Amino acid sequence: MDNILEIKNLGIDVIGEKSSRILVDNVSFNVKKRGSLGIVGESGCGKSITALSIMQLLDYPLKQTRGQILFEKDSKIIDLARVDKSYMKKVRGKEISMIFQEPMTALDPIFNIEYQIIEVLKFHTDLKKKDMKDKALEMLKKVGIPRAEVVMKNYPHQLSGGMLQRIVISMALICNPKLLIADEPTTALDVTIQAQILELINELRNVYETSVIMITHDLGVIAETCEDVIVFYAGQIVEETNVQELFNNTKHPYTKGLINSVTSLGDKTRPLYTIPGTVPIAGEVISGCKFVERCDSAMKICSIKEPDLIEVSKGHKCRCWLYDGRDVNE
Amino acid sequence: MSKTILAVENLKTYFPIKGGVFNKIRAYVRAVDGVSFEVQEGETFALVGESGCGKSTTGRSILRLIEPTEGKVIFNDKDILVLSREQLRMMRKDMQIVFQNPYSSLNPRMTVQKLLSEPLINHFNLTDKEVSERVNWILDKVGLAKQHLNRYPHQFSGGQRQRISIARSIITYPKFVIADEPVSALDVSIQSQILNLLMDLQRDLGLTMIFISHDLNVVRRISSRVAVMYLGNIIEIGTTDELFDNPMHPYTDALLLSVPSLDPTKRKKRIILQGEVPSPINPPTGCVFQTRCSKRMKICEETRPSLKDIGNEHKVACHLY
Repeated sequence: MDNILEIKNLGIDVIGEKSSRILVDNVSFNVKKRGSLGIVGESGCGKSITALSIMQLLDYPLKQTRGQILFEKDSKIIDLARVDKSYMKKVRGKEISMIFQEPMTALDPIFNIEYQIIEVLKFHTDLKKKDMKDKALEMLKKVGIPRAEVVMKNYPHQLSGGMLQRIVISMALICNPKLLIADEPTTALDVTIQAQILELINELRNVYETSVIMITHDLGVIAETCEDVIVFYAGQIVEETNVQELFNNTKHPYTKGLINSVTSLGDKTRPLYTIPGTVPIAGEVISGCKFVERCDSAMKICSIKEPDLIEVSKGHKCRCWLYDGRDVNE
Repeated sequence: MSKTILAVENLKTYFPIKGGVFNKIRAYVRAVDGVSFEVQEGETFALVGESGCGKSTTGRSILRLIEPTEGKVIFNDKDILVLSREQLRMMRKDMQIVFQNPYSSLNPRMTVQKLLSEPLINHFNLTDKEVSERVNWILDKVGLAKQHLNRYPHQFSGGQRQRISIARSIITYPKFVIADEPVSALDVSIQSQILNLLMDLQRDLGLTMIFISHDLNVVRRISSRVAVMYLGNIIEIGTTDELFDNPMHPYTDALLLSVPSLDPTKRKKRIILQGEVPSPINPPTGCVFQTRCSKRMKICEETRPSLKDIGNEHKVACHLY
């Protein structure tokens, strides 16, 4: 397998007493070995629960009901959706790690930093206690924490957001995982600290040869850190390509709108570009294309039939009737 | 020449830290530490900076939502800080604020009708008919419909809630509005809708606005003048074009460079600021920025630079100039 992770036809539902609603529908994508994939989308589009399903962390009422999550472990391909809980525990933190948005809530307030980092090692390795401590210290230094010996004994409330995010990153990478999922890792941080953390993730990615999935709503973060990008809207992939192509040869009207609403900030002569309407509520049923009500190039067919995700040029997929070669007036 | 509507002079807001057996004051958090600026009528003045730099506290101190420790806030030739509670209450209709989080700034038990008419009932002596006329007018202005009137805040999306918040602040025809991070809690595609609304309202109603934000792209678009804050101090102030094209202070420079660019080919090794913002309880001696500055000199550790005019309405607090 050239890819470390292959997601095939993933579907996630929210289970209700009488009926269920679809939150993520038929999502397929690959993460290349040592690659970095960005997932962009607005709140409620399903990007975070897709990540949680890779980690098998979905909890009732959310449930993965369809699809496969193929992950390569020890040159064997396993479907993470089919393995039992104890197996998954060995994968989490060792093979696949995750960084969450809020470093302030990701750590346990009643244990010190040392305990929390060593906990990962205790679970996944047979190191002696002293070696664990040394390794934790070494890792803290690698993520650029000054006075690491002191910080080891600190509790989360004594440290700033940027420091905590560095610690979370050190915990995520201490077992040298093959895949790192970063869910909005810099959204809660200031721009100057964001720049530091993005730089750190890029650097460590090269050192540890880890593949990265970067989930964000910020196109700037994508442009800075990713090679491949997928754009989510209302639980579906609407565009998928590499990062240059995404910005230089944007296809989907939604992606265009997102990019325009950021770039039109720089042009004072015209009003800001806006995508009309609001983001659909997660699980809302929309017939035809999910974006039709907000789209400025909507056609008749768009509200009748849902477009497929088709390849418009090599390596560039888009879900839009504008690029569908079929006769749309049939 | 436009008129100065608001002048802030040497504003200081300290929060005491108490502790010990007798709850004695042990130290102060110097959230705002001597800030001065002027806002002209009809302009949008932006305060930018990272979290904890005192930009929101400055905004709230101006309105006396937090009582400042020292300084003057002259609004329309009156010093706000010496007004009695009743006098202040009378002023409130002229000075309003829009908060960051529309999910927590609206009372969940009030309908839109009630939320919007409350400020009118508090400040004006209007008949029911006049109130409902004003409410309808404002609904139209902010892009909401009449059928929304009987709904509660939880029935609206974030963008719509922010529209309600804005409507509530401008329904009293204020002369001056402070917008404290009004779009930070919103999705990218909704942000621009709200920004357009604010710009339209400002033009139509001749509002003066202080726009508090950490988002430099947004600030560049919406404001006419910008003040950059760091650790309770204004370190640079100037017209928007001048400040963004020609940043003088090393911190402003680093801040602008930290913003991710949308062009993947321009990925660069940026000058990244090392370290973090020091604690405002114990700010560094001399220049507040000296602990992170790449151009630090001997003098920076000793004396705090004051804002110096370097021409073109551009002032900077740095020993380099």
